[in-house]
Amino acid sequence: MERNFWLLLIILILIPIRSQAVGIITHPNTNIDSLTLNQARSIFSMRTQKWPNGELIKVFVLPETDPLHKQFTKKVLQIFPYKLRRIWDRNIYSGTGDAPTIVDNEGEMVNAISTHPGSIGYANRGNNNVRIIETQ
Amino acid sequence: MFALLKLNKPIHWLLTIVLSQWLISTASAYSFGHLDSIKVHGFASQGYFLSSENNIYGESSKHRGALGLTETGINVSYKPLHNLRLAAQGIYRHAGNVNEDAQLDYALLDWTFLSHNDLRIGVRLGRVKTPFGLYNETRDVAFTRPSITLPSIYFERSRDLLLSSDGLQFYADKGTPIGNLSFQLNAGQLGEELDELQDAVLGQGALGKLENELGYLAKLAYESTSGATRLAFSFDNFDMKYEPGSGDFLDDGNINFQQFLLSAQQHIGPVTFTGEYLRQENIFENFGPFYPKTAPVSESYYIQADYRFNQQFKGYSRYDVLYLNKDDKQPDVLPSGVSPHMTFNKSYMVGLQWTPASQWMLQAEYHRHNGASSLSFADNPNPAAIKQHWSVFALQVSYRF
Repeated sequence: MERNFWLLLIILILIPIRSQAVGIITHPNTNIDSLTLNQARSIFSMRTQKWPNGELIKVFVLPETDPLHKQFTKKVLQIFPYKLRRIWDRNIYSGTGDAPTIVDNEGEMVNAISTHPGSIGYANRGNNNVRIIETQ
Repeated sequence: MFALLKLNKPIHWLLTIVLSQWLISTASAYSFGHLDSIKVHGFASQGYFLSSENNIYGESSKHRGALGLTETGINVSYKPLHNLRLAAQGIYRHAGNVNEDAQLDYALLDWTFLSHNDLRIGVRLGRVKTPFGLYNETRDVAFTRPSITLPSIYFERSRDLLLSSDGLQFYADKGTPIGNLSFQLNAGQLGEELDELQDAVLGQGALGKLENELGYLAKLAYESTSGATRLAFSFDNFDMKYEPGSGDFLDDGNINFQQFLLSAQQHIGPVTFTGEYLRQENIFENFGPFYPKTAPVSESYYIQADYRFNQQFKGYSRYDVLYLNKDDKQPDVLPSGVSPHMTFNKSYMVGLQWTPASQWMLQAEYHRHNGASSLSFADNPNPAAIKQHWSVFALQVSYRF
């Protein structure tokens, strides 16, 4: 009985941690361990365009309707997805900025991140092929 | 119809050089396999309008209304170097009887000559979109507008003054812990389609032509890191000269407009509040005895509230005011052919937006107007037929890629 109690308690504790199931991923060569919330927002808004080492940042995202994209923008960036979309639209329809590259699904995302130096995106924490970058 | 490349001014030579550089770079990008750094985007929208009186974008007051507003465009962007961008956009716009043409919306070379520690400084050469308020830079793209029709401060009659400038833009951005500051300054030659403006300020009977001199436009903006707060101050200065026609009752006068615009937007959860306030100082002088010097001050402002129900649906409502002369709201003396109702506007609007997918948007709106300042002469040639109180039902479908 006591063992079941502890198992249940452990599971209950783990659930809140697991609910932030999505995290930022980058190409291995970027040598980044963590990003602040502001830095993450600035990168995904396409304002910060270079890594500290001078390499160009290449941003990948999933389609706006993808549940993982919605989770990422709301939980990690803490921005509404449509708000981010408007920022990208202002860039691309005035000729003064860029929008991220949209990939179809998480598999393509992981593939893109591992093959493009300087790239950044996001994926499920449970995905074993990626290294999650923490945001503060 | 195609006002693309008239090579009769130095600025058009500059545009041609920028465009040809762009074409050459694109061609070499293709041959060197750099196609993935060329980005293409576009948009298309079609609006339908039904009005109780008066015509907006075509014969909207007739039985079945009018499919009066078509806007479409395609753009290309290429970065041959990390701090150099070439970008161009062509648009086609059909707005009732006011205009129906294709033109180059922007064609620029963007060089960021300093990029260090969250500070970026650069210059854009060629045809550059005008930074003014929250919505002007992308006013023809439905997805970036607050509603189907723009608030009065983005005065349709002054469209060609505000669309873009051929010359250069200096820009600077600084990221700070509390948000991003940006500054833009445009100097250049402005658009030449001033017929609607001329009719409004000099009367429909004026025989000559109004022409633009160099325009200056500047905008200072702040956006918080989450994008929840946006603030901006915009200023511009326009100078126009009148070239009298033969036998004209007007002399070769000049007109000066100076616009001061304050903008603010705040998101609080699912609600967004937006407000902008414009003060425009106008000077009309040297037109001769039939048009004494006058310096009216125009005023316009709006407040809009958006409520986002979920990812797909958003409701919005706006109260909008414009006075061409804030100190004389019911002027006795008007240029010929201008209805007294056209000097002001007070309107309420309510709308619903549906985005079933990120590339598609459908909007429906109802506007109730007291005042006719938003009407065009081209769609409403008879001033006596213009009514003070009128309402509009509008629908718009939009696509983007």
